[in-house]
Amino acid sequence: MTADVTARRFGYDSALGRELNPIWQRKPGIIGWLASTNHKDIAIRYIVTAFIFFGLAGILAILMRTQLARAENGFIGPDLYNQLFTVHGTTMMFLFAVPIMEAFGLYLVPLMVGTRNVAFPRLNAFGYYVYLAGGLQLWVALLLNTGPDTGWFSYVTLAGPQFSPGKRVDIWANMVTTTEISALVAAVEIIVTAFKQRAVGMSLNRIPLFVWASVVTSFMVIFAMPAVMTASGFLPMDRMPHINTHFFNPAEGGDALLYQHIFWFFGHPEVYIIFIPATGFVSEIVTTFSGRPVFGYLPLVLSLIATGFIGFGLWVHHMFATPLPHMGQAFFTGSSMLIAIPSGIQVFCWIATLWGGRPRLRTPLLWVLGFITLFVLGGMTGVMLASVSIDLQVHDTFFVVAHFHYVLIGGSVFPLFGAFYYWFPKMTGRMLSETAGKWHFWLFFIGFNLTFFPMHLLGLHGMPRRVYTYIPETGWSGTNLLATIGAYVMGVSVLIFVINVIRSRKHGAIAGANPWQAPSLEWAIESPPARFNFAALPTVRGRYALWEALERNPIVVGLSTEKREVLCTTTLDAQPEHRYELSGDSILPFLLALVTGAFFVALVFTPWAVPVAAVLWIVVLAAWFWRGTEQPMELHKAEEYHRPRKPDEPQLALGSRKPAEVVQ
Amino acid sequence: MTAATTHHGGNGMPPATIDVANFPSEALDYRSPIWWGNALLLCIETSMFMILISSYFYFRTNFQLWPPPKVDVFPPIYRPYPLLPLATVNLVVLLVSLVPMFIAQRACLEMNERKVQIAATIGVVLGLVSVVLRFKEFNSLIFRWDDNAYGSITWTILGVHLMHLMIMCVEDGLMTIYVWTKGLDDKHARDIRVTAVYWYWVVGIWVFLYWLVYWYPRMIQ
Repeated sequence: MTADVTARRFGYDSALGRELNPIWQRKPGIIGWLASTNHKDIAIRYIVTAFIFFGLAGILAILMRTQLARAENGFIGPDLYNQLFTVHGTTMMFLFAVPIMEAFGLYLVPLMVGTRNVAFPRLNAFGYYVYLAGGLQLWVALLLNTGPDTGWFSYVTLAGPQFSPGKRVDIWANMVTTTEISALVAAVEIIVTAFKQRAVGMSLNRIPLFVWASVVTSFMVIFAMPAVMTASGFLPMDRMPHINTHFFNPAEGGDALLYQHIFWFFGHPEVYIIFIPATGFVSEIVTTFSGRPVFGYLPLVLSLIATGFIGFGLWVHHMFATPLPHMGQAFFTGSSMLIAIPSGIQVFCWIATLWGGRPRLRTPLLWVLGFITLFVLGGMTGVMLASVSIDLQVHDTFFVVAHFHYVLIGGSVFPLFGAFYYWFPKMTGRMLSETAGKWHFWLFFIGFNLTFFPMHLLGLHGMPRRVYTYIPETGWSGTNLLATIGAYVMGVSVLIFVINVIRSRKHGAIAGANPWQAPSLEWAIESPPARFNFAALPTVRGRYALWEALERNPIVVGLSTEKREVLCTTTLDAQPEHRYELSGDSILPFLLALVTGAFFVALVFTPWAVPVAAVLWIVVLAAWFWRGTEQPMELHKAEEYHRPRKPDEPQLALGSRKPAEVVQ
Repeated sequence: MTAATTHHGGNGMPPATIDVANFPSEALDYRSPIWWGNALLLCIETSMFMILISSYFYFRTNFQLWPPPKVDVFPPIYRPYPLLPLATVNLVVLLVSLVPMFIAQRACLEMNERKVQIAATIGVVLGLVSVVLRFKEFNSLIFRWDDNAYGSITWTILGVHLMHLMIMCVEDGLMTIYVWTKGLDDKHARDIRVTAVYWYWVVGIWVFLYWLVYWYPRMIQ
């Protein structure tokens, strides 16, 4: 079995692995746990936390559906209903969708590119704790009946000081800022890891498609998130006593529409930030379960990049109901339709891959097939909404709610569940139950369509979103009841999923290194991987390392066993460049996040939080910076990079462009 | 997948290896991950300033005169342009600070400890002078942040840039203290070179913001 050979070479059973083990272990105890900077620890914490938020926000959705089940229902009043849909949307977008996509990136990118940890391990830990702080802030506020109530995009003037007194909107804004910090941190980690720490020979045209998807997403995060952080900075400044700026106050030259522009300049790329990683999951799963190289690697990558660019030119289609120039609207209609092209190309490539392979219909592939169906449906209504005239008719109705749940759940959550079934064996060493997985899929698929398909009709009949009840004369009761039943079916299917995960964690079948016969590098090592991932770093000669006789490739040796060291390679061709010492475990990221979290809570109440937090930040950061070198290093000169190759040094012929032969 | 056993690197045979033990243990330029991390940080910061700058021009369209006349004082100021002298002095201070920072990061390549210590200290002192001047500079804006949207956005631009000035002073200040007390090692040489890039960026973007806040209103009349 090749899998065992590679697992023995790269894993903790090897001689090198036993040498590396002590330095990569985390310290015992709760402090050691909090201080861990291993990307797998951090990513799994992200995934678990994000799924908990997913469950909580799902419960809110079920409460809302219960209220809407019949006309003039008295289950939930308007004030609580406003909090419910705001916290549901905010949680799903900021605390579930973006973090969990980046979490899979943080777990998988270092494994897929064949390195030992992300580029800045301490920063990574900081990102997680800050995210947790932001999430807790929102949910504690909701439990104290001060949950935000102005919708997940909190438009001014409704969210301004005049119409939303109290602290609810401030809590929303500060939560957004906090979680965006964590999103930006993760984005930087993913890009630098993918650009600098790839396995020797893994040139840019050979990296797995999921890594490409993560890189494109991360670049989108980097250019989109600062916009929402500006908006979520302006808004509390307008609202805060003693500050009282006038950014969104028309009486003093401010502009309410500016808020919408800034928000959607982030908000539309956000949709693709959630969707693009999902396409990465789909590409990986389709490749593995078709048992053949993906059809159209290059078009797939170019589509991702094109989506990344076009995604920034669409934001105004959220604002077609505002007084904007017709010329501008026409432009954004055009670009909104344009983005269907790269998405279409991807769908065709996946179908062609399945067509040309011998698909094995396991649970992950089932989710992907569900995704293709639903995403195409959601894409159709998307093209409809891109047209100004239709958009004006259905603006703020349940039609829009139906559309974006089709693209977000159909386009992202389905691939996400597929990815979870696919990589769970790698993360835990055990398989999830296939039977429970199929029940989960079919109930979710049926429940989803029962819930959201009727909403198209409700929207076309004029039912507005974000309204806590409706009168019987509208005739919407039956359709609404159907949607509510669907929501309960989805709830049951998620319950099956949770039970499956908890059971399989302990009692699932042992997975082994490569249960799916997948081609990418993470399957070359044991499940779960050693703390250092790869004892000897692998080298690759093509896109599908494990299908191309990885065991024949040279391995990289000579990295330190005394400190946490990785190999940096050149960005384009992945030729070895220099060694790079990663920082070790530390409690400082946790402390810094604690200060940051406390700051954003205090900032809800007083601007004096700024100077106090600044002092605390400097103290913690000074401790962080004050890290000496762990051991003296030899001085080196700049010329060292350009030194001639010594005669006995191995020739690195791994960058050759010759198409590698696929061994099946 | 059984063909492998006959080749070197299969079962029982030692695999071919690439030994990287002799490779450099640190990179001082764009080859370093930290350099990339810093470059991406600057992308984030630049996008944020782009939003601020766009907002500035967006508010401009809501006003007949930019800046609006100040009518809550007597006599009213018809053209309350932000005052130039202090701001210009501060710009010069920042531009001059580029020189020692450049010298410090070049000295890192030669591992010239004394040169790094002295040049970085001069740079940080100039940075601190600029911070102090900036606190005074807010008065040059004539309006307060809570007077109108013009006041809000100009105060915010100055304030956010001030935040960056302070961050860069703290960062380079700590590093300079480190080099004075513990000497220059590889890691800190690399860090000083990377933070120098940050320093150039903070000064560079200010050249544009200075033009935007102080000269643009004069040029459009």
